[in-house]
Amino acid sequence: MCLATPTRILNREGDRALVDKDGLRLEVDVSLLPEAKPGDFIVVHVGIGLSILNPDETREVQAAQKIYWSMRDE
Amino acid sequence: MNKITAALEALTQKRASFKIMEFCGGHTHSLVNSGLMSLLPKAIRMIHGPGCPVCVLPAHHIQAVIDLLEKTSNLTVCVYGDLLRIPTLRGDSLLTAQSRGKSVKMVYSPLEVLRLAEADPQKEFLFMAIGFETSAPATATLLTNAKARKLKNLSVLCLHVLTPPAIAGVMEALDEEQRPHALIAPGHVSIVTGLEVYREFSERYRIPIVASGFEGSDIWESIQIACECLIKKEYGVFNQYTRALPASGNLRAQKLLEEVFEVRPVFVWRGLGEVKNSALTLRDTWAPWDAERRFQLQYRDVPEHPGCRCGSILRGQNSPPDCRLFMRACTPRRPLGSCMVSSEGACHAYFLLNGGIQ
Amino acid sequence: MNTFIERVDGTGGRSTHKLIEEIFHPLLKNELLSPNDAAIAPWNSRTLIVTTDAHVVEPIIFPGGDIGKLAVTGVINDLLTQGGRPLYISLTFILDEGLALTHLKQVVQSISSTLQQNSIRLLCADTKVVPARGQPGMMISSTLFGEPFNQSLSLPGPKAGDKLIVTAPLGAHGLALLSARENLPFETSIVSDCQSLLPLLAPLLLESRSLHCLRDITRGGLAGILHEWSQQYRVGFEIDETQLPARAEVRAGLDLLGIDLLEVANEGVMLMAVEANSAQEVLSQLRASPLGSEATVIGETTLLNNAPLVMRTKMGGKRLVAWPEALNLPRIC
Repeated sequence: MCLATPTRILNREGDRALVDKDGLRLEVDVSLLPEAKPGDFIVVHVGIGLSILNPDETREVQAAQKIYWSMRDE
Repeated sequence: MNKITAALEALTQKRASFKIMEFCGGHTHSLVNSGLMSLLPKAIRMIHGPGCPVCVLPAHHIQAVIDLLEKTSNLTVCVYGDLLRIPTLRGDSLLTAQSRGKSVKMVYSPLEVLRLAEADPQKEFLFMAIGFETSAPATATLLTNAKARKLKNLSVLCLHVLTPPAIAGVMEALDEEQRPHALIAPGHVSIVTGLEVYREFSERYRIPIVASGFEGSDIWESIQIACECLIKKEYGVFNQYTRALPASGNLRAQKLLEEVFEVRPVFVWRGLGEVKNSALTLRDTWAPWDAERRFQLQYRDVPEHPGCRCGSILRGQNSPPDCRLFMRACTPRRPLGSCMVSSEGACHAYFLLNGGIQ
Repeated sequence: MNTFIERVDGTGGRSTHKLIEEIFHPLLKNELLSPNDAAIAPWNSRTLIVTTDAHVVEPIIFPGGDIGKLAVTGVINDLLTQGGRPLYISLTFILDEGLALTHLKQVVQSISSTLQQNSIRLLCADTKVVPARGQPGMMISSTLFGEPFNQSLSLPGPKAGDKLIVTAPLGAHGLALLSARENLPFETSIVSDCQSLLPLLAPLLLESRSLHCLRDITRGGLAGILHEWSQQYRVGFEIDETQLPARAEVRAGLDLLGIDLLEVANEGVMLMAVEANSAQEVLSQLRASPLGSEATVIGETTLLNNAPLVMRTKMGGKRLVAWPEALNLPRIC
């Protein structure tokens, strides 16, 4: 239920945005994120955008994850 | 040895035992599915908290909606998927009501209800709004849009619950020596509420509280932060999920919640019993869209199965194998209690953890 | 002129005859298809391999295929798991009153093409009409007959030490069907990858001595099949999460729906248990074909200790994988 997904904004019109997740397209409500713009990554929960992700940190975390996974074999 | 286990083992050299509660069902699910649970040293014990909105919802709300469907012919009930299989009286559920022809529709977002209501002005649509603070803004957005579009044929049954009072409820329900030493707080609830809501609990119970993301790596980091605090005998509120979680939360969402909802003086939680100021209801200005007021819902008691220990499991007092129904009479296929129905419930998580084997 | 199936089309009288003449015969007639109540076909082999299946998928036409293609490819792949070369098929059609003839024609055309591509002859067929129920569709039952590729091929079942190979990425068919049927909150370009694996597996089944077991990964998904194998052959399995092949878009869709990749149904993806020493060779052979270009070793067979199925996660932890309840998954096969 706490499932929220990071997605990337493709375009925005007023309170609606088309977002992309690995090729999937969904339409979400971004009325709670007035500054969110195309190119931003946002966290979406049940069709509503709740926060904008920090892109540098997100990239760092993804990179760190890849390192964890590659190092899992002692 | 695995890098993660090694890092955590190093911590256990400095303190004999760590009891950490992950409040949120989503964290429980991720803990098990990512395999992190299997990497934790024995000294670190996880207690699964009650942060599963499906698990803490008393079944009498669902029974009331099923009863309403039986006597209201043009009504469609819209729900999130998890609510469908919660057992009510005599093994009934929204899913079986659907199979016998009642209009029950699964939705992925409350905003779908707008589209449904607009397409079918002759029908009534009722949305069962469950969830913690993460989901409440979506319900509120449904209502503000319904008002703006002057849609009269939809209503909301507001069953949203609040995280801080539940934390208090759990801590108070446990004796001091049963209480967790640290808490991992739900990252997505915190995105809405901000971190300050946890401050009073951190101080009152002198526990570190870490707001965490949901990847296995996030939870690992959060466990490390919590353990390091415990070693240093420090407490406070910490943000592990900085990439997504601003310390003040989403101010617009908070304002919206203020506008639409008010706090119920009391609400009965499955497992925790009555908790004060722990749930939301619609403000009077939104009365025209309040299903409770529109439909005069009748509540019938839905007793727990005699052997069901969901209550003490939700409080963190027992773990699923302590329940004699667990994996015998009560399985994901035939759940008797709410902890097994929801894939985030502690019993369901244990089922997955043990691969379905007793 | 009719554009829809009517109840009278199922009575066996003139209407039925006309339906068969106008829709089925032009696409399916061959010299073995008998007008009599039974067909006679040449048979030279010592062993008969048969499989039967019913298809009730909804919707009957979906991105990447239709129920006709599925009704044939499904039984082809099932026959292959027993080392069978498909030869003859029998088909039964149950048509809903109200089914559009254009849809029926499309499905029959798919069947015709798929039979031709796989050199299968239709021996006999039957058709009935049932009263309307919800969305007009159809059901097909298919029975496929074949002979062994190699009389001396034995498939003893997975043995401890055998490697597990999956021939193609997981989840495409499952997700495509869900998106066609349900009102999903997202749009996806994923189409069903249902296909006949005859060209991919024929060379291996003709020659290989190192194939121990094959299964089509349909309902219940990979987890379901491995649990069935575990119960049947008294072995265990360990798979590696990092090796499970799936398109990013499929993962994203399943994530959003809360469906586990291990439980999603597939069509046109085969699971194989292969003797460890030959696994790399089998893998190269599979990858040389377009149908198997993404074949991957995903794990191995073990002794049955505690759990039938264990997965090593990305984090390096372990997760026991339960036998899917399969209650939440819609029928897609």
